[in-house]
Amino acid sequence: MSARDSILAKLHGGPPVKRRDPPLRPAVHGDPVRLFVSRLQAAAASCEHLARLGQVPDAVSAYRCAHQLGGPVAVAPALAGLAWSGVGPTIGSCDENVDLGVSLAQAGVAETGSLVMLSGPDTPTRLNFLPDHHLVVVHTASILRHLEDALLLLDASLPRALNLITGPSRTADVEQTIQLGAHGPRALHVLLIK
Amino acid sequence: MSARHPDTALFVTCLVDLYRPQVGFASLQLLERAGMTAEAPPAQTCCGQPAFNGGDRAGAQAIAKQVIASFAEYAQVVVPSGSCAGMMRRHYPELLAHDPAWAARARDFAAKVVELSECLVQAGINLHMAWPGKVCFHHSCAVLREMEVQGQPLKLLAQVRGLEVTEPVDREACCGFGGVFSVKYPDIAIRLADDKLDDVKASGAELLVAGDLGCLLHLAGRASRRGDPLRVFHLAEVLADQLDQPGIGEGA
Amino acid sequence: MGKGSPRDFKRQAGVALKDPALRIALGRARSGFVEKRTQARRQLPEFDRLCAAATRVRDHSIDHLDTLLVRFEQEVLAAGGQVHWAATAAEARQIISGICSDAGARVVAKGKSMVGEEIALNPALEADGLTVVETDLGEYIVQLAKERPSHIIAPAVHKTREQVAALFARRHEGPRRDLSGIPELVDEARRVLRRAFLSADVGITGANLLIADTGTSVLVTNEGNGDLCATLPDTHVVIAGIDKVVANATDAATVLRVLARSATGQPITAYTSFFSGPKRAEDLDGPKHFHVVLLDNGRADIRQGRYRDMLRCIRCGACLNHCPVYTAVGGHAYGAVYPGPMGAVLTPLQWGLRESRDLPNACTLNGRCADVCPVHIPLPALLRQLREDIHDAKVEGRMQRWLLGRWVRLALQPDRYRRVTAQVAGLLRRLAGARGRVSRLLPIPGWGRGRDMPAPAGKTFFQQYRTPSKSSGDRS
Ligand code: SF4
Repeated sequence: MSARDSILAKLHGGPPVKRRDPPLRPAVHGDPVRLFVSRLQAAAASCEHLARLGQVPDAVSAYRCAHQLGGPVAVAPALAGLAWSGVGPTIGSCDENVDLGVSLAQAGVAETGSLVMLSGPDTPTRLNFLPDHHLVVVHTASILRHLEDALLLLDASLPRALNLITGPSRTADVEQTIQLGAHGPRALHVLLIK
Repeated sequence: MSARHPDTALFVTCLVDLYRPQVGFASLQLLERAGMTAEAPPAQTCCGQPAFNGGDRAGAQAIAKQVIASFAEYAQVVVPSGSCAGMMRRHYPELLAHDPAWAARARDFAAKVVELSECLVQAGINLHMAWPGKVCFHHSCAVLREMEVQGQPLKLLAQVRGLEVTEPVDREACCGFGGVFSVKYPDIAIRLADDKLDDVKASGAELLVAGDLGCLLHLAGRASRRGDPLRVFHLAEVLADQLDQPGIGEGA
Repeated sequence: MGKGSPRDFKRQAGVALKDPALRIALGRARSGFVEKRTQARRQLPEFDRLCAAATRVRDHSIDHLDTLLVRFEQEVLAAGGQVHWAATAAEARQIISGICSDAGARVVAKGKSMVGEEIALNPALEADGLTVVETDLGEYIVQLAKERPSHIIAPAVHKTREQVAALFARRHEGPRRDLSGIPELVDEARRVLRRAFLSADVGITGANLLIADTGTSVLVTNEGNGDLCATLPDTHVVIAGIDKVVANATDAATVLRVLARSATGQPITAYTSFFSGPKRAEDLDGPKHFHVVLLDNGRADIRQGRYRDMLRCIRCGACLNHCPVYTAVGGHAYGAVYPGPMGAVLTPLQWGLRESRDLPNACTLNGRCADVCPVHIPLPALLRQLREDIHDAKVEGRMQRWLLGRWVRLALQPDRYRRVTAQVAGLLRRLAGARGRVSRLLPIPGWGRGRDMPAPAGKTFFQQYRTPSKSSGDRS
């Protein structure tokens, strides 16, 4: 008998499937966008409000200036249509030499302050993890209340990876002291588009 | 009063019987003062925790039956120990759940069991006493978690005029007694006692009080070995105004 | 150091208690974890009800493991991945060895995985000639130090920053660098581990949950190391116990809500990732090959017996952080992969009662672990059950068995009991004299080291007591 069959044989015979209680979700009070921003900030991310998507390249330039970043920039193909001439990024995925990655979140989760990143041809995953600085564009209209709402996106499109990102990379493995920038981005900056 | 048949029984506990009889007498006195007629039935020995926690289920069941039988005629069973009360109230019914002759008796018995401080608060006792000083009250784990008795001891201590009452900062931390644990793993038990005693010391209290004699023997034994000038008493002794007597581990 | 055996618990605990650096490290962890969880609970009014909901989700999973696992397998296959079943640790090691050799791998980047520890994966892969790099910082530290994790979510919790700095200085190449602060230590590890990520041919991660409906493996990290393991190498291997599966995304959300809060006090970790298969044809990045290895290693047997509740465990570590014994002796004293209360239940079930008989006994049954367990595992009751199994199998110490037997018989004979306790009280009184306590010649072995024995002042309660009802007539 294969391991599969022997394991399944042992597991056989659970009780009949019962109707289950409706799932419980914590109350999300007030404006979800406000909650989203405050949660993200609590997780050590910074946030900036923009009126239009067209302002993103300028915001990226300003961010580079402020952080004195001169290295290469990579932008997700989903944002390729913007006027990037002032930044001069590569469009697509990235390697370890890129300083700053700009990507587009499919949605946000107010309950936890999480960005919902789906992998796909227009939204490569490396941008989320390799560069030191991660800038994420998210439309306020896409901000959902609960985790469950975001995870519906799994059923809808089943991307290879769905990453919930809540703040920059961190570790507390030395003396339980939180230190940002363990392996992934040292800084996470979120551009919220009205 | 004395002509009335006692309807309240005191389960003295094996540790009180052997090490600190005054806790038993103080408890009886407090129960009388709260308006109950109480006695300590002589057929009692131990609640069975050493067997139950030592893996001897059959032994624990036998002892549970003996206890249930010897307290059958009383309306209420008062226990000056959270862990023994927890054993009787929480674990007797589950120990005997599959014994058709005993399951119902165990449940009825469990419903009659109260921890001393719980009983005194229910009865609305009035203490009329004063003691100037500062006491740190240690909540034994059984009282906190098995009996879910939380505020009662503090309510009673608050009645003592002049007494300042504090708790350890980590009030839920175990003191390391744990019955047989304290003998089988003395090094760990002592470390936990030290943590607790340090916490008590930091509170600035000169008295350490708890509702479980097990914790107190362990902590008093450690405190005297460390040379801490701490006086240690069971809650019942404090409430019965016996703080002028020697504390646990103090000479006469 | 750090690779003992459960058999030697007592000795290992004794050594740990005398280690001042360990005491500092554990003290810091204890207060930190406890405080953060308390705050997280306070900030979420529904927390206790959410734990109850998570408990129901996990019960549903354990009830229906067979159908959920089959569904999970179907979905992974449909997404282009592969599923492997391993009945034992040896089978799991073989499967993963095979995957690595098929991939022509030389370097393996590993995310933190307790199942990886359980099956002792690293030595097996190293024996195949592979370079295995742990990428979680804590896990990397213990790998460099040739130890095992001492905590299931904070592997290097037993180390101070000075010890980590010394370790890096000794084991890393290159010129001397400033390693005096935590930021410098983290940067140093980042630099070294970056190279490992970029050169790895295979990434191996654990999974916190598996979602049956979509064939998804869920991974929770704060560092993002797991995501790099799952994104950069050409092959991604997930190893997970069969107990990890839940029915759907809603169930996963229910568990995630209480997982990070119970573990680190965070509402959610920095990264919570959901992997479903290999890179799609049009994707610009991601692994070409995706494997899930499902490990039984005793779980199906546990499910059939009276320790079934243990399978709900979501490995949050709260029971460790709140355990007085764990926080006094640290994880290595247990000599097992899983330490603390959850480990004291799992280890005897996986490795045998006789080997591990100390673990269920080294517990005060104070109950705090069960109080904080987000999936309501009755840990003290399970530990007590294990003591019963140890007693029934007659594998406890002979002396202990004999003493307990005598005690029970005595307790069942009240008259004899009265006589014996009166004698003991007299003995204690004589030993104590006027001091009120016995400091030497203690009649109870084990007590006297470090503690005096308070002595009774006079006779026993029942020697002194006269039943009032006897003197006041009959009581029919
Ligand atoms: S037993 Fe409970 S508290 Fe302990 S690790 Fe598992 S889920 Fe967490």
